[in-house]
Amino acid sequence: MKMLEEDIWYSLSHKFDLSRVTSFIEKTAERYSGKEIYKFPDYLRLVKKNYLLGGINAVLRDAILGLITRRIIFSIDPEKIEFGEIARSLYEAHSKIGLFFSFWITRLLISEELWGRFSADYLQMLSPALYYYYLSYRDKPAFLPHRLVNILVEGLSHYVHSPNDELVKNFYLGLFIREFRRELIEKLILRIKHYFNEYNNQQSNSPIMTPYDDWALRGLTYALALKALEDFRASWDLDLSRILSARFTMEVLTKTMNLLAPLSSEKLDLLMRETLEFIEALKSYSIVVPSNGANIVRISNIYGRNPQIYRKYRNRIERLIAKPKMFMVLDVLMERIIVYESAEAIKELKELTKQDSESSQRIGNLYELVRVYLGELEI
Amino acid sequence: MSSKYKIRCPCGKVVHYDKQLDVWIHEDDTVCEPLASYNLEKQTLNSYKAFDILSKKPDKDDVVRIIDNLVESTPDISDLHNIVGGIILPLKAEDKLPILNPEYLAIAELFGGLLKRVFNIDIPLIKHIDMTYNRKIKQIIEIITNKQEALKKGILKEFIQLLIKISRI
Repeated sequence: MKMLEEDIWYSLSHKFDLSRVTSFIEKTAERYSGKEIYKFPDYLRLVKKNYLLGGINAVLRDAILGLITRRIIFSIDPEKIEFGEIARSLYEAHSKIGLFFSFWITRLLISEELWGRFSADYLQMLSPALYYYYLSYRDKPAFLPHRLVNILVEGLSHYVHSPNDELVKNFYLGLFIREFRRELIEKLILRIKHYFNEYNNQQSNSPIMTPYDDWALRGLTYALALKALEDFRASWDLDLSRILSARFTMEVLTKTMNLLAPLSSEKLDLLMRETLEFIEALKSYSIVVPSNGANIVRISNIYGRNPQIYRKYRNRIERLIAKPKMFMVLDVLMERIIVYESAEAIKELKELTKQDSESSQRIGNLYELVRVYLGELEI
Repeated sequence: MSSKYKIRCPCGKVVHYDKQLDVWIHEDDTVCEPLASYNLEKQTLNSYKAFDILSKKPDKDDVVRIIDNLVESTPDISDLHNIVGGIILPLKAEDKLPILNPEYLAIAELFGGLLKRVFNIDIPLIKHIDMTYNRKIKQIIEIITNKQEALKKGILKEFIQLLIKISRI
């Protein structure tokens, strides 16, 4: 078994044998099916530790692990396992697999109307599921009962640290419970306003162009993304004068676009158009957006999460902000395909196989792998 | 001059004033066209020496006074470099007054406009804009844009864009 294991992971970087990979997926899934799932987190840790792969090879590795997870989940009965502990343990071993597992179990509990049988404290362990409900919000919206939203949001304290947990909770509540949205936007803004006031009092002699603050940036981004989904007319008496700088502004805009990409194409389109105009205008002051790691990740995410809008502005985005990294884009697309069978993501992956690039062979491997399992989708 | 304030040339380099030579020079001793023109022609600015304000922290009144002089004197083209140098350099000083920081004003205006267009939100970003100052800026834009020859100079184009943007706030 060990030989097969090593052979599979190491061979990913130079040759790809589809039949061997699918056979490996089946055998591994079989090994950790049913009650054996408790050992799966250790296996994930081992793979991550022993088989360090980068770029598209890492995407391929995670896709294989995701497909193994799918097969394992098919074999379990949520009433017969401690799914809360497993979700937590998987999240610690491999966060993406943990998110995936939580999402599928939550969906299963809802469709089978089983979630009411479990205590709120226990269900809170499935909180990472919210991420995939967010990611699939636009192209594959799923039903999420309000009481369960409240429970899962409360559980975020187990996964997101203070002080960001409060902002993340407000964002998810406002996203999934529309009736609360307006109130939560205002709450977010009030918190930011309070923060600005404190900041101004403490640093009354500081220069105007101060470094942006991650907390305020995150809160403002969440408020703007929620606001974009609605048509609430608002006048926020928010004095940004103490922290407004080119860097802060760019961060707000690129972060909000990143957040909006899976939520609304129409709003992303509008924000993208205006942001690019904004960036062009700032160029006359020799202020340019840095093509740094954070912007590359955000642009790659936008591409993977909303290829249609990305393609519409591709040239300007790449000229004014940053070029996406193909492996990051593929990572998002594979995530969307494996976790919730996004037709849009599959279509984009197929498009990418037609490109004449160094990566086309590897992208082709990913597409072949997806096609094998596409026929077995049962959602 | 106090080292508290860094004064930048329109080309972006930090400058300092050499008392003995009575000229402004780049920190790295290089020269550029706008700075050379300023040094050659600075004495021609008639009633108010714009660069005098560089010896202290520039404030809004200084800018208003420069603009007042310019409006009254309607300078000819040879003075335009002085105007540009006399205003851009103080504006570029790293002071703490938002009214004197063009980049700040530009971002505030553009960001505020963007929030309004995309998210339908009014965020009061800057509260104390002196209307007199704004009106004066409009006047100077008119004067400079009327000098067509001056537009051939890249730096003037940039300066006009800057003033137009500031005046919209």
